[in-house]
Amino acid sequence: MTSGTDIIIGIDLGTTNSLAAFCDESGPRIIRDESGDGCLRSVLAFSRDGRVTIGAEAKTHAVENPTSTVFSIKRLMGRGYEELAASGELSHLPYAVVKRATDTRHRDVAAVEISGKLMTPPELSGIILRKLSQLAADHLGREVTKAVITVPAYFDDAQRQATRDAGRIAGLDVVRIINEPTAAALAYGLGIRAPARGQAAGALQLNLAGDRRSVDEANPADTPRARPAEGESLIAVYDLGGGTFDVSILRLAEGIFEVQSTHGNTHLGGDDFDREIIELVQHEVREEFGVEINTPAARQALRILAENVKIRLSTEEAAPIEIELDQERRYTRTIERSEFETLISPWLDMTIESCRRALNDARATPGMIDQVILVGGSTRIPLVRRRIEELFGRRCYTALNPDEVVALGAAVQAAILSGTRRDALLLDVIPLSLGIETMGGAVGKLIMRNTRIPCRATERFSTFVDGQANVKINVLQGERELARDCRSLGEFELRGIPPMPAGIPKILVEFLIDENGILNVSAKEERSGKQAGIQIIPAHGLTADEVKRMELESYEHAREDMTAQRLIGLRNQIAFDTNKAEQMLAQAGEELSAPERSAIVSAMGELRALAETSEDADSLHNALNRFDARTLRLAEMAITRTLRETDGTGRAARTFAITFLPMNRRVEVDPRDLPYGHRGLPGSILDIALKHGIDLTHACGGVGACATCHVIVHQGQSACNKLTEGEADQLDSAYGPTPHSRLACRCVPDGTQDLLVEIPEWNRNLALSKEPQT
Amino acid sequence: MNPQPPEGFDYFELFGLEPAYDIDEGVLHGKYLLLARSVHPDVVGKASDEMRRRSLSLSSQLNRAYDTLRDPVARAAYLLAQVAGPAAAGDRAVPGEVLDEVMMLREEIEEAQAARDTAALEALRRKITARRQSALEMIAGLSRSLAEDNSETQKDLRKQLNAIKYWSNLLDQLPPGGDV
Repeated sequence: MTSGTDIIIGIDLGTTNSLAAFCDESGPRIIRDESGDGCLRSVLAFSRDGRVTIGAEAKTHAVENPTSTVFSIKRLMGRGYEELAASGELSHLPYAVVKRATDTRHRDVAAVEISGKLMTPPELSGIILRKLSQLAADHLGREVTKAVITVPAYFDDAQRQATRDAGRIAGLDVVRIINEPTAAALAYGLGIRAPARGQAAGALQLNLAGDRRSVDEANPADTPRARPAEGESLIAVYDLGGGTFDVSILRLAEGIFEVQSTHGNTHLGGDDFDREIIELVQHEVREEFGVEINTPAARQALRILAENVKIRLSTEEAAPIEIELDQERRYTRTIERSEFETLISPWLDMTIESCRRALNDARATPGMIDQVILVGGSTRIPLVRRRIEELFGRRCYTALNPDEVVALGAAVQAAILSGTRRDALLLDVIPLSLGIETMGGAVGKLIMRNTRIPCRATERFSTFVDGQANVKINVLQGERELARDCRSLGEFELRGIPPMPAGIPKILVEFLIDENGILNVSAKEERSGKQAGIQIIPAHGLTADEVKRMELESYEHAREDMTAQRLIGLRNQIAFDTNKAEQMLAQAGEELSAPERSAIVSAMGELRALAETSEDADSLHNALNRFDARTLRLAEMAITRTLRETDGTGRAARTFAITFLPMNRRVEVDPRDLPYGHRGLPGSILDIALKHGIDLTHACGGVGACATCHVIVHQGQSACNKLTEGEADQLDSAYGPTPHSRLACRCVPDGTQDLLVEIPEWNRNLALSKEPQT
Repeated sequence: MNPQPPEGFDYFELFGLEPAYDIDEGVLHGKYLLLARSVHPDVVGKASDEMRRRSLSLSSQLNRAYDTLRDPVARAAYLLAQVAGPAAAGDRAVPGEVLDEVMMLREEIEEAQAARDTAALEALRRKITARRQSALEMIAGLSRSLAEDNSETQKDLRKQLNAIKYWSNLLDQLPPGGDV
């Protein structure tokens, strides 16, 4: 058993979003950053000097730097260049994907090219994983070196290996790979509620008894598919994410989650629905204007637009599109929900067919399913739910947050593996048949799909030539009859066969699929009893040496990147603290002696100067600490004063400040003067900004019907009113929202804290152009 | 699925069942869960490589045993192997009429797929499902009267076990059915 002090976190490494979660005595919870956001967008933005930004901030760079912003990297994991190019996947990506030069003919490793540097999908996923594990370490206050990572159930061996490699490169010991639908079932079956943001996951009760249904006419002579006994249930998990689709049928009994069957498509997801919209727009623009939308920047912008339209159509009947092609020409269109549904229907048909296949393999009928669980953001689309309900004849279970449930399940599994929980066990299956290439290019199947794992098959081989020392085997995964129609996992070379006449050696090869669904091969020459060495040359993956090297490199990069992030954070903090000190001096400075006051003033000046010139995060950190220590007495005085000045309404009469970036303009607000009566909610950031001559764009007049007054509240967000649904919706369609984003017209500070507010680039032009007015 | 010679332990014994075609699925399942709990790698942990190896070995044997006894066709084949010996598995004889019909149906499937005739494909699916059903019923009957000295029954059972594979393979090529 792993030592009790080892923390294992659960990670959902998604196509669009990634999350980390941790399980302790009170249950599993998503690991969130300071602003309460748990989702890390699976987007990487590379700057010219090699720095990388991960997450929502990276997404904002997508249009400016389309060829160096990488998204949906999960769709490339474990796949070779040739097959990606042939599948048409690459034509949708604005960033460059090339074939990496390799040492043997059989290897075909794809890599993303950024500013001349090649990075493989596991390396890129590794960067995301590293950020998640750092977030977790910060949150938990301890080093995190172990994780359970989820993959689509339908991922084959190469894709699973790639995921494990990504973990290693990120410095994580991936103790287990589990399937996403199974993880979701675990969260469901243990009664874990994953409600909307802001609340903790609910307490746990065993929730294993589903609805009792009457027996349908299952064929009596065929496998007596026994009705679940008391306390048992049969559930279906429908998992439609950004890039992958899985359906799994599970049987839940006595805390054991037994997968009966699984089916899916590792290249079907929300991204494809976006593409339908993209292609529609490209086609119409071509027809109407003869213009081709094909520059990387335009395609990135179009992709973001399409995603927003798709999301809007889940709650609205129609969504407008407007694209400025150039100075004179503009393309406008309204897409109706019904139109969108027609476009995505063929994709959904495929998912329904997968459901039928999984049911067949599980020897179940739709009527036997007690519960259907939805996983993945794309299950919010109304048509998706309707089709599922049509098939299963029952409503879907929607109490689980489809974005978080997988990570929570992974955290529970992590707790099981670290020995802190013993109430559940996952028994999974292999999703695809495994076989080897035989004479004539056929496939000899060794292990059938949906065989429960761990499982094992053995096969005997011999030599063709006298004294032959090596035998090569091509191992394949898939359901087709011919080797060329299946996926090659790689070439396995059995070595060190003792010299014997042709056909005499008896090499017994054991193919073992472990609990991760990953293949382990071992071989023994039976006559001599010798263990044969096996050299595996993965068809599309990295060798062990390559992974090791990348792990070291990534560690170095992570340190550099961390430093860059730290510098930005420190500079912001210095601006904030020095401004605050100024304010406090104004408020309570007269209680200090003149030398004390001037000491603080000069310390402020020094610190500001240091922040501008220094690149050394550590020395900035130390300088900041020293400054804070020096102004401590001042701060105490300021607080005492504030308490004395309460104005009888219970509300402090102290002023608070809002510092607006990038102009670094500090505005003091006396709450008793509010509201100022300008646009936006009374006392909102917009109201305050307009009063002080900072002309924030507010196209809708400040009523919250647009996103042009989008600001980023770096500090003080907790001292403001909470986001409403409507505001969140507007922000979703804003240009590059971050976890700290707010609409200035809706955000009302309560005066208990100072704020640090950044006006994003696209609003700045207007804000800077006017002179201050009263 | 061709069962390989029993790996030194009897599957029925492992689950506490009488060796027979008809078994109590509930008992089988319950025993399986109990055993799985003790040998699964997640439970055994990674204390040492040796423990992990053993756990993987035991788990795969357990899973194989369970999958064999759970599926009526595999169960019948296992019973046959116990009675007739492993050599019986090498007998690939199939009732003549089955091969003829399979070939014909294969052609019909290809035609229907080429013409995208979903109605025809559905009809074919029903037909082949019915064929498979009869084969299964025959397998059940033969398995129940299986005895060490009755080589006729054994041969017939072998033939039916070979035949049902063809029906299953054909079904695999067809789109999955509606819920009938």
